[in-house]
Amino acid sequence: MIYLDYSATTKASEIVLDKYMFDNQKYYANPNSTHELGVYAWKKLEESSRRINKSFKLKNYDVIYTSGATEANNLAIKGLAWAKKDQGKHLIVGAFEHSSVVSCLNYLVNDGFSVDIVKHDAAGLVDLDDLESLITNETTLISIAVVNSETGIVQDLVKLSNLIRKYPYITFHSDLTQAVGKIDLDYSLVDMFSFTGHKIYGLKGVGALVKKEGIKLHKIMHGGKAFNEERAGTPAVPLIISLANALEIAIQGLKINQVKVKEINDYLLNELNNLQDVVINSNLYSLPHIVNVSFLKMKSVSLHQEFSRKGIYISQGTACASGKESSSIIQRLTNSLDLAMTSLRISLSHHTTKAEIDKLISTYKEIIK
Amino acid sequence: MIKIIRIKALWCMSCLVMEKTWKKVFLEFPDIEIVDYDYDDDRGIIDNLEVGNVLPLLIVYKDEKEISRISGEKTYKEMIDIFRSFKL
Repeated sequence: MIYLDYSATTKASEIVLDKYMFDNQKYYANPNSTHELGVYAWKKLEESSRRINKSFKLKNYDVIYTSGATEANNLAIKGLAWAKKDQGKHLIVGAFEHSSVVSCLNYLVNDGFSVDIVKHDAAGLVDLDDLESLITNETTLISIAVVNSETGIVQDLVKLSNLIRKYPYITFHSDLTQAVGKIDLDYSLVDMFSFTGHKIYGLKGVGALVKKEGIKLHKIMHGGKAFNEERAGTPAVPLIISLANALEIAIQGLKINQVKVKEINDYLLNELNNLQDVVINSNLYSLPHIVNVSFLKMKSVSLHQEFSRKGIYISQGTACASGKESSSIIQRLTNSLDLAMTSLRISLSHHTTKAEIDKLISTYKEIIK
Repeated sequence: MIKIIRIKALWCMSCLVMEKTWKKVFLEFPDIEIVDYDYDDDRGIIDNLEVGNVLPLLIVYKDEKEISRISGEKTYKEMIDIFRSFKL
């Protein structure tokens, strides 16, 4: 089995998993309970938030724990839009957002909000002039992911932040699910960001929305008093500790892992460039962890299945079509339906080996023979 | 009498892209009746409409008879030209 779908999810590291098993036995009390064991669990939550803020080098940010990035995106986008609806009902979004962001925005459109999609250049970078032209007095939120999940294209966060900061009444949210643990960022350049544990060798079922103190969000989940005012429900203390653990490991290992992934990325690109009828859709702005490639000889839906049958696990794009036959993001980036219908995402890890890349390439040759 | 069945999905970026264009276009054709269905939530209702592979999908009916299908992203001008071709 060769796993090259690390941007979909990662296998939890043994360290995170072992600590989680231990913490489950130790910190099982409800942190909302006022007895000693509950208070101890509450303290572990506070400690986890401090550790997460330290990993991100942030001060004065709240960490709101969620079930993952989708819930964090829902809380950020709907929560902010509804909280500020008396100020305005206009939102701006990037053209290459994850479906969890797009779904929230379509939902808000149905609720009377207006959404503009910012233009991008040929390389997939946000057109800053267009972004500024879309801003109105009614704009309350701009949500743009720094790293696109299908192409790996990295936006210029400094330029985005500098522009948006000129409009202090606008909150800047970014879905950083694909960025955390892969690139070094100044996280203080965004007002709110979402991330999740299972993309950084942590556990599934826990993520967070990290937001500047003072930003008000409308609740999207209601219940009793909880650790986070904005998110009801008994906090999953061991999972939350595991998120802090996974993040610390990811941030500490970032530089060395980047070097390893870049080396594998170079090797993969070289091998792909030696093939005929292959177009690489990722570009020089893409991080090395994600390579989006169109194999023109075969539709991605079929090639993906063939790879899977042979034990190689890679990913198709996010569907724009009901039949999930083409990638909306690749079509938007390249203006080519052919490229969109033949594109696959190969996502790499510091665990990926050259032998695995060799097997991927030889298997492809076998399939198209 | 023109009626349009509009099929969208919450996860569909092209549907989000088209929202502002539709708003503008349908202001010019206020007599058109629009019935919205969600691709995921209304499966039972839209199953027999042969929705196909591309969203959003607009199925245009004139006097109860289907006369056209408009799928995917269109510019304002393209939409206006299509609607004018129906001689509304």
